[in-house]
Amino acid sequence: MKKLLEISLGIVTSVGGFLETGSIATSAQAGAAYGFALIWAVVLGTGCLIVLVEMSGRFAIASHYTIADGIRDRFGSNLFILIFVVISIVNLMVLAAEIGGVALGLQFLTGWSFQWWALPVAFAAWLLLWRGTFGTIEKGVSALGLISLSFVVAMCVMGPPWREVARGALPSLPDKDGSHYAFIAVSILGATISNYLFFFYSSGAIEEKWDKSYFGINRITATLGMAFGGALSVAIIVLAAMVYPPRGIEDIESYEQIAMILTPALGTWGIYIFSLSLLITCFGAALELSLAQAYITAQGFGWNWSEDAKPKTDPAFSLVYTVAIVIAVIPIAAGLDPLRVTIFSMAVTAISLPLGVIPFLFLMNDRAFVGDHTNGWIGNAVVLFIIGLTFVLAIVTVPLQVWGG
Amino acid sequence: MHLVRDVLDKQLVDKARVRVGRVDGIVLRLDEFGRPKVDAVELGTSTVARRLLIGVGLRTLARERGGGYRLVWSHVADVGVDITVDVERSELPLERWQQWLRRHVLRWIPGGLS
Repeated sequence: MKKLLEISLGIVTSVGGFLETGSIATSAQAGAAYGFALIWAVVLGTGCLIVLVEMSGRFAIASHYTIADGIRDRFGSNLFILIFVVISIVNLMVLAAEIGGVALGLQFLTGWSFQWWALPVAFAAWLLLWRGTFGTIEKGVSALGLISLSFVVAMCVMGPPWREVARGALPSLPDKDGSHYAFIAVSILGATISNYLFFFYSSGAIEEKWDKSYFGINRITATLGMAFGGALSVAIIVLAAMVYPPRGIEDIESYEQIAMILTPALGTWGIYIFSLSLLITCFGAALELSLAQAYITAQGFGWNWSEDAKPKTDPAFSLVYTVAIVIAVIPIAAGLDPLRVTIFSMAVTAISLPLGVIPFLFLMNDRAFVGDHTNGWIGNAVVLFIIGLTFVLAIVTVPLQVWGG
Repeated sequence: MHLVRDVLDKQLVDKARVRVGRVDGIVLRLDEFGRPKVDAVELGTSTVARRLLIGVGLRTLARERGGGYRLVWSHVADVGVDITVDVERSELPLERWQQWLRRHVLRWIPGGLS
């Protein structure tokens, strides 16, 4: 039973991967513009994510190393620094977007501009990391994150044409504006598969002291956790498809429009529930990103690290997340539109994906690390497919941003 | 033992299994017969920076020697999954730097030293 609670590591990772501003925004846009047609992108992204997250957990259990450890060990300091620099830049941008998401949630709840909320939000996130332990953060975020199940409830209340929803799970060509369609598909994949999730999840497995008896739990956690996030993303697409087009909205231009997504199903409470979901899940994602940044830095340079230890014990580790939060809050406090920051950071994520995914092909087949728990041929074939997919994403993102965004 | 595969870039831990940095460089010395011997392992960002400069083809900008902290090979107690060293943690550059952070940064942050 206690082991079953470990699934919260999957849920909390999933909150960072799906329910943050990126997925909420891109899913809402997809539903508004193309109805159910882009559900396949969420399904594909979720499938890829399950595979990669399971592998990062398996790597940590089998080798007692994290993915960042593995990259530095296996590929040396130069390649590590390349990956480290790129991923750090992306992390900071996404972190800014998440702080913006929390601040927006508070703006919807209180009426005060998100700009004024940026600093208090950043401070609260930092305080929780400074004083809290991994367990409290993980269990807290995954318990509170369950509020986002209200999207699924709302979807059921709306009673969508399930047959058409199911058809959306299969890829199809758009009947209009192909480049915009492709842009949103790419954004969804970029918002779903994020490199920092692997660094976070593998570090989480070490923090939670998963031993060799956890291979099964890891598989269940990765699958159910990511499926949880995927289901919510699908629910947002379905809701958006049923809410916006009848009201003449095909292009989401502001977060205010997304905020009304629950009102047709849940009434006036909808806006509060949406704001709370946005606030909590973005806050969880912000914690996860700050920690992921501290993990990858400490592990790559060989520092001691643990979120459970006091800042005094590992000052370098604690100061990394502190500095990350301080930098990331600047654009939001300066009043940059969080939705723009989000869309931009999703595109940058897509460009950086190959760097985070290619190491899996080597690490998961290296017996020096994983022993007998190497990938089978199916696992390797899937990783190769994902690497191909991430290369396509990385190459098409910029042109699509220009022509379709 | 294979120096690059088993030593370079590996995690260093002290006897208490606390992580104290990584092997950022390896220092070789030629003995009287001209055979290379491992002299020390080198720790420090300057060593990492030197490797990076050489790696991207800017050898001219790289320093002649790493400039990092040199830990004499005889202090290496065990080369396993991690590399165990038998020196006091407080003598190594990482812990000295962290001590500086405690004194000059953490003391100004509430809860930093509790």
